[in-house]
Amino acid sequence: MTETIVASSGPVGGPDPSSSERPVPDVQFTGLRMPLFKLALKNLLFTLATFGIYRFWAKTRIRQYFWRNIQFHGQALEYAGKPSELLIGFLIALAVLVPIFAVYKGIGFVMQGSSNVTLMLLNIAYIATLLAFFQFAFYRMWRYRLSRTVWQGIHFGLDGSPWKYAALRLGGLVLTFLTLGIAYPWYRVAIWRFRARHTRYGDQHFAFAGSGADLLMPWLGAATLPIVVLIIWLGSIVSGMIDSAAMATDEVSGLLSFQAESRLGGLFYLIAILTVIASPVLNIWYRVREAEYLINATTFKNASFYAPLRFRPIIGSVLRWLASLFLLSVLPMILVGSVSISTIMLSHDMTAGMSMIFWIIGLSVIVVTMVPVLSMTILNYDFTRHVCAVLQIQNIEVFDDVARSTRPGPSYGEGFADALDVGAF
Amino acid sequence: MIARALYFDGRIAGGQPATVTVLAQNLVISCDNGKVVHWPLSHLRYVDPPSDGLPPRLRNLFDQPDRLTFDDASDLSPLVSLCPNLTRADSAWLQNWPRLLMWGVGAIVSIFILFQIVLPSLSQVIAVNLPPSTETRLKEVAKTQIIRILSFDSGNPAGSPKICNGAGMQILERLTRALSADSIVGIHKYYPPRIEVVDLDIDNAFALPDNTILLFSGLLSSLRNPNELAGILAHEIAHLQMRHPTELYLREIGTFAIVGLLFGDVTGGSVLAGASNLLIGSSYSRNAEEMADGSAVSMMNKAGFDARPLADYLSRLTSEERTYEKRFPLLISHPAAADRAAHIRDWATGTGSALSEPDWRLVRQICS
Repeated sequence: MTETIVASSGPVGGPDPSSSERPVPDVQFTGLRMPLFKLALKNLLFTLATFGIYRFWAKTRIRQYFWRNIQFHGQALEYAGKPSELLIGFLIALAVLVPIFAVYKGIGFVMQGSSNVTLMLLNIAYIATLLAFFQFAFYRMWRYRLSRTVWQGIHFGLDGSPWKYAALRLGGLVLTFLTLGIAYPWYRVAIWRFRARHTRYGDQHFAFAGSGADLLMPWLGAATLPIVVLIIWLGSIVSGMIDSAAMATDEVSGLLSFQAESRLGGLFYLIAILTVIASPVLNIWYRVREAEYLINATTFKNASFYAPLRFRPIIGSVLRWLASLFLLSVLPMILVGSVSISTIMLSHDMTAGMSMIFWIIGLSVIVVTMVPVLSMTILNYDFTRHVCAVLQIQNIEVFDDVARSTRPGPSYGEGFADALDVGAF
Repeated sequence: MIARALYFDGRIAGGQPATVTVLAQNLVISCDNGKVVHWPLSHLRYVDPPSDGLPPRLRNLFDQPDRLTFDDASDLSPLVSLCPNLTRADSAWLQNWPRLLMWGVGAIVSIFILFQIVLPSLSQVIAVNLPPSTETRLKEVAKTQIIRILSFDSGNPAGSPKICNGAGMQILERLTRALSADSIVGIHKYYPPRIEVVDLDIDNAFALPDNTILLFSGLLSSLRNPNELAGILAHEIAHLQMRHPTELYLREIGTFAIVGLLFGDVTGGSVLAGASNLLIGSSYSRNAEEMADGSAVSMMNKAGFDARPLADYLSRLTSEERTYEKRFPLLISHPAAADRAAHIRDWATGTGSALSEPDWRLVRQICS
């Protein structure tokens, strides 16, 4: 019975269960971890050897790998971007952006350390402009990627003004802050709505019908405890400052401010520490719920998406990633340390200590440069695989009727995003 | 060869089931709906490198929108020998080189202006207006870095070297007060600098941000005359009065940030940037050195000290070669050293000795 339900709700248009022909899955990820790891490692070595210039080729190769291993309705995506486009984008960023950015940083440097109110406002403006520019760069990066994504011979695309997107993000952040975090789901939904409605396949746009209200409960579940703990802690600091300011002329002011700081008590700090440990997990849980909701509320003409994402594979991947980082950094250190110490003990040769320092410095460099490789082969790989495994698309055949868009895509790639170091790959 | 495939015309997304055969020098795609497409064999390219398990995909040249996806089990090996350009990666360089060239030149010009004009003038302005607390932090970072690197050079990599505090310290303080008086530079009140003596066998001295002079015990034991020491101190004091060290370290930080941007931090570029930054090293301009010399000699003259030993010291340095100066040529810029010594001899008018014989002995024993 379940079988028939699955089959009849299947988007392929009901392959006859008695037929021997294999039904084409909506979404399939054919990537393998080992080739991806080898590719990421090769990219790392080449990038190091070329002082970073290879990264445009590296990014392109990685994207080609992911794109061609993601199939919708039996047809794989195609990444049509060229490394030289990324290089042009980078050169433009160098020519235009870097000087502006340098002066900007210089101004920031002068302003730091001053407590004047005007300068504080200037600082806020400085950070806000920086954030807005990051979002601008991020949007352009998405536009480039989508314009270079081809499926069934038709390009994707992203319209909409990057500046409007940046304004939306800044406004949303301010609103979230003013409402002590309650507006956050609406903010997230608003950005996704903006992106979804401006994303197109050929000449047709995606649509989105969701509301932040639907995400309020998951969000409150995940964020209430951390936010309350944060507010109590900040409140105690402020009240402590006010107390000690009021008592500034008093001889016992030091004692009083000490009391103000410690008035929260040990139980609070215990809860606070547990909260700090739990927040990343709660955050990931919320992100999974959010992603699921946002995907399910997105449509394309008659086609709709359904992705019952699960928390366990995602958190499992994050834990594996953390464990791999831990092993990568700790095991070699222990090895080098024990070998060197035993050498010193046996031969009383202190130069072994010196070579140990060299080894540890060298190993730390390797660990730092290996982080992106591990993130790629564990986090990016697992997330992609899980989303592809659970994603179902109803009425996927409506995509077949889409015509090519006449709008040209951007002619060069994501230089600003590259310079600002946003985006994983 | 006969194979089944899906043909995508690049105008409408849906694929057409088709039978694919080779006829003369063409790949003939006969769609089930009657449409027939001819692709010259020499135009055929793989969409992506063939990999196991994935159905092969072909395209017609690199700029045509249509695509051909073969059925899973299709065997394309008969095609491979017929199509010479199948695996050719058509690069976009041909179309993109004018823009690459234009923006490449633009980027180089921009970076040149940034390093030659923007960064120096910016660090000059900032050096004068830097909040004192920031400058103190800057000094701590610079000091730790210099001591760590020089400890390595002098074969003492492990420990942090001793900061000396012998009876000679008061004499050094008296000497700096004799050379310079309080003044105002920018928003900063200038006062005779703090001197810190580090017990390391390094023949050098550094002016650091936050009005600090770092002396190494190796320098004290290599000097032949108290006036050499007074001259070196006067030279460093001159750098401090002109706020050169702060400017230099700000420029270093700026360079670090820009080089980081160039290499792209996604790939551990900051590590490379850090390493290259150490190799690039740092030095004052020759102009700054000459200004400091002039100011040092007039300080010596005013105090009645003979400045000529400073010239002797500089001439002696040109005949020696030491590795750490390549990293920190703060005190001496090699090619100019002979010229500078000559100028100093010209300007010197004082004749007195900077320290009495017992005081000089105490200073030299500051670390013992």
